[in-house]
Amino acid sequence: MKPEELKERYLDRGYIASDEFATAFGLMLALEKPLLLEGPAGVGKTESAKVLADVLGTKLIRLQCYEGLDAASTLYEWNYPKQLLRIRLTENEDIPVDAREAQIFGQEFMLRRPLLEAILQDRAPVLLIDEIDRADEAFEAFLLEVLGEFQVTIPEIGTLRARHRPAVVLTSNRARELSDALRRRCLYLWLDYPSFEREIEILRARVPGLDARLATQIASFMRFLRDQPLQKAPGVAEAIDWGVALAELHRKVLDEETLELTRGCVIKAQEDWEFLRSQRERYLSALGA
Amino acid sequence: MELDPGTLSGRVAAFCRYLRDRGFRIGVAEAEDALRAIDAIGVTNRERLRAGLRSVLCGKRDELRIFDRVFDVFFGDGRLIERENARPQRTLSVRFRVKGTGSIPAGKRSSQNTAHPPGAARLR
Repeated sequence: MKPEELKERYLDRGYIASDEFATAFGLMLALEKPLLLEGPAGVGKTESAKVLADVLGTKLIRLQCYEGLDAASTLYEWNYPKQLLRIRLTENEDIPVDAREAQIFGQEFMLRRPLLEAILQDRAPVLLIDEIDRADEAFEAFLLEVLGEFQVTIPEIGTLRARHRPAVVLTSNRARELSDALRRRCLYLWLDYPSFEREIEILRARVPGLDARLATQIASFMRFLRDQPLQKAPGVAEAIDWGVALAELHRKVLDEETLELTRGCVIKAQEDWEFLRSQRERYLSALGA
Repeated sequence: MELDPGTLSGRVAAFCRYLRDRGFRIGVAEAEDALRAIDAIGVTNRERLRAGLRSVLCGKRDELRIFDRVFDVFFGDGRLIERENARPQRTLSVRFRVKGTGSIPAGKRSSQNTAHPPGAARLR
C-alpha cells in the first residue's frame, strides 16, 4: 500500500499519521519485516497497530509482554481440566493407552496463545507484541526464532507453519535495551510526541465539537507538562481524554478552576500534582492566564 | 529531485559501508533490504527515501541523527558521489554528469563541506 493511501486510511479512523510513519508502515508490509516502534509512553504505538488491523481488515492478535513471561505461555498450553474430564468420562471404555493419549493431546485440547494463534490464521493477521522491553532476554531470543520461521513444533502434534506471514509490530518504551539481533531483524521507527500543530490536529479530529481555542490551549499545556520532570508525562491519549472531558463539561476555556476540576485526565500521580502546585506561577502562564 | 537510477545501487552500497564504519549494524541482508525498500518507495521523493532508508538501516534512536547527516551528504540535493574503485559502466553516467555543466549548478558542485567518507567514496 502506498504511503499516501495508508495515511488516508489512518485518517479515516481518526489517527493522524506522519509521512515518516506511513513510509515505515508501508515498508513493513512491502518487505514483510517486523516493525519495532520505540518512543515515550502515550504516543500511540499500540493504537497504531490496532488501527493497522482495521485498515487491512484483518484480525489483531496482541501479546502483552511482562516480566517473567515465558515462551510456553505465549504459544500454547494443554487444557488440563478438559483432558482430565475426558479421561473421567471415558474411563469405563476399553481404550488402549496409546489411543487415549492421541485423543487428549489433539488440537481440541490445546489452548492457543497469541503466537500460535497468529501462526494458525487463515488470513495474515496483525501481530502486536506490546512492550517487548518488559520481557527478559531469554524470551527475546525465543521470539527471534519465531519471527524468523513462523513455525512451531509441538511434540504431540507436529510442525505447524504459518500460511501467511503476519504483519508484526513490536513496541518498546525502552525500559531495557533490546538486543542487536532483534533490532536488526526489525524495521525501526521512533515515534515521538506530536508537534504542537499536530496535537491540535489530533484533538480536533478525535474530539468533534471541541472549541478551536480550547484545543490550542490543551496542546500548549501538554507541551508544558511534557517539559516538566513528572513521573508520568501525559501522552496523546491523555490529551484526547481531557478534550473529551472539557467538551462534555461545555468548557470554552482552560482556566485554573477548570484545570483543578479535570486534572485527573492528564496528571496521574499525586506527586506530580503537588509538584505543579509548587510551580503555580509557571503553570498559570502556561494556561495563558 | 530525480536520482540517477544507474548509479543508485553503487551509491547505496557506499552509503551502507559508510554507516557501518560509524558503528551501524548493517550486514549484507540490511543492504539488500535497503535496495528492496528503494524499489518499493521509489526515488522521486527525497524525504520519503530518507524515511524509508532510515527505517531499514537504523536500529536505535541514537543512530537517527547520524543517519540524517550522512544521508544529506550522500543523497543531498544536486550532489553526486562516485566510488573510487567502481567499474567503468557503473560510473560512466556519474562522470558524464559531473563533467557536463548541464545537470548540476556550478554553485552546488563546489559547496561540499567537511563530511568526506574516508576511502569508500569520494564526494564532488
